[in-house]
Amino acid sequence: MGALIKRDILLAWRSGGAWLLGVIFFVLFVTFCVIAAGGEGPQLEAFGPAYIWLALLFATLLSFGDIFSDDLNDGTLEQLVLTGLPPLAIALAKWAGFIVLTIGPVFVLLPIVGSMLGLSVSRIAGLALSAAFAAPALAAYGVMAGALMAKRGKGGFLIILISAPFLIPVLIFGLAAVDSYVRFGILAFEFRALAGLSLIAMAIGLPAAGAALTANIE
Amino acid sequence: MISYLANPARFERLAKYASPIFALVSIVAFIIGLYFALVKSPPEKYQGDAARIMYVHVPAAWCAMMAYTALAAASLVSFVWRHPLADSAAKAFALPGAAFTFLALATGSLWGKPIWNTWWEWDGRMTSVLVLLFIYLAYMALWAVIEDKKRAARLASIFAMVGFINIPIIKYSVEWWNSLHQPASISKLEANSIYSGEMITALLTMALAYTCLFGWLSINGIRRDIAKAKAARPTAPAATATITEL
Amino acid sequence: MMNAPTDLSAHASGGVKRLDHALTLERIALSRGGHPLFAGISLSIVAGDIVWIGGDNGIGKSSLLRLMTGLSRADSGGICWRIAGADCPPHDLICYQGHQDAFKPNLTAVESLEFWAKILECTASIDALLKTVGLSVRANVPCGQLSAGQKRRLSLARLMLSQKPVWIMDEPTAAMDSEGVNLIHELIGGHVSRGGSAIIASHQAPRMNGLRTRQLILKATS
Repeated sequence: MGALIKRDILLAWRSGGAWLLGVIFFVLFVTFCVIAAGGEGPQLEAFGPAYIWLALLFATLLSFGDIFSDDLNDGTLEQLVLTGLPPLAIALAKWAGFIVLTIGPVFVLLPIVGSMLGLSVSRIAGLALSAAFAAPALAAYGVMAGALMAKRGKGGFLIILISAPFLIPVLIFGLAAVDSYVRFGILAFEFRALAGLSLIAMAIGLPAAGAALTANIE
Repeated sequence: MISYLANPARFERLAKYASPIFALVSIVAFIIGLYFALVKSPPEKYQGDAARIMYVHVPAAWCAMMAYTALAAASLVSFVWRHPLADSAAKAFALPGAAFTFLALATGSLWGKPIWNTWWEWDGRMTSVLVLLFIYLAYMALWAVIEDKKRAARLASIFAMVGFINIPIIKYSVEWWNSLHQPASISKLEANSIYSGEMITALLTMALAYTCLFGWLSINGIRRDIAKAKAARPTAPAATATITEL
Repeated sequence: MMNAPTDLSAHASGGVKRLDHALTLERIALSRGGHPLFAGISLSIVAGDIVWIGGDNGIGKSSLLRLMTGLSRADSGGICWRIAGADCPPHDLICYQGHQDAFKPNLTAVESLEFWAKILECTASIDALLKTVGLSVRANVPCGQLSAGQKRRLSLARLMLSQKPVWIMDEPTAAMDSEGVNLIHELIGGHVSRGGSAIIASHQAPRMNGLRTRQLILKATS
């Protein structure tokens, strides 16, 4: 399983920057939001975290399609299953890879984008923490949606439709956590809620992904 | 009972009689329920006549959740035992369930405006019912978009089971977060004190009406599937194998 | 008619121990897209067997092979995979070379095999394997630059890497030149004579000296 994660990282590294599309979109989306909102003032301070969270959400949503489609369509997935590797382990490996390759770069840029928007340090810290707590949930539902839609090429809008219902609570708590952090620090209730959501997401999303992979290979 | 009904031929025989019965009971229940709702039951203490929309809204919400539970259960049967009738059942439950969810949301909105002075509020219950609607829509989209219907059945059943996590969230969201929504009002202890007999009758009759409507729609959906499968009854296999020693 | 196979791959793959194994199909039926492909197919394969599967394109050879790999499920009937008389999961028994090569264009041949070696937890010598399939020269070339025939040779190497007793191959000689075809037949012969077995979908069905060979032909009814 570790070999699979390492291979994915190596492939991303060699893909000539294709893996950075997510993070580029992240920056672009925030820029669009700022421009659309008028550019300056208290608006930005109030809505900054929301823009950033939305950008994070969409950047990850649009990467869901790539998680499995390559491996399914060139026969690698079948060969992996035939080596005895359980589909759940494959899903787990892809989950870890997704966090490192897609959410990771966004996470690194988060403080920079946050300060570009003029957010205070504590709000940026709250943002970073909420993104960190939510990342397992985002990745788990992404792996699930990607596995369900792997056979239909990139799945298009359907992948977003499938993952959106589960990501709504994550978004709600993620945003609430940013404001709560300023007042209560990491003891804020929202962080525990996010942690719970992440655990649930992994508990139901990853086995579902494994089952979906098996169904798609059939 | 489920294994008895699992045989499509038996189901069809039963469904031929069950379907009109469901329709009839549904119509009668609607008439009685609406009579109680609009005429017989007293106006609510604080909200007056506007609260009568509760008789449409609350049973719709109940049925939306009940429908999804049935859908998830059928999906479980389909996933574990791979029974085509379970697939048809789950597929048939989706559209009526989605319609009830939409009805609950719409009537909830209409009710909310005069009482709380807002069409919508992002509290726990309303958001999770909206999420339920999205899950229904995504489920139906899965069936519609995936061409290989056997694979569609399998993937849809996986998705439906994952989505079931939303049902307890809807149920307990009002307890976990105090907000606009009133806490669950029909419980045995409180029933007699807060609500008059007529109100409960109205609610339960409407719930019965909705359930029978749901049953009627679902049974007909399943019958349509069975008929389609029968019409497409396969012919002999395309190829035979001969094994020779070389 | 072929000569007795040389022990070409024994050194490279470490050889398959003589494992008492069996793959049995009983009255298998499968349909695809609502149309029935075949029904009532029964077949029993034990160590030392070769089965060539023939038939027109699209008739279901690949589907039948995938059933034997355990990747797909039959509509009715049963398949048993057994090692030493006891039921085992399919992945303990079979390795599969399908139509798709499953190699990433950005990984070199050596890196690809090293990846699969790690996944399979196998310690065979990658260099020797590459030598056996004739790819030593192209060892450090990214798979995206290999020709179709070279990728097939690489997937042969992966087959041997897995050290599984049953080889299931779907048109292994497609896209191969005559030298490659000979290589494949030699490797198959070597593998089977050392106690493995092979099920191959192919339009050619050469008889191999001293090995129990059968041919299963799928023919269209009507």
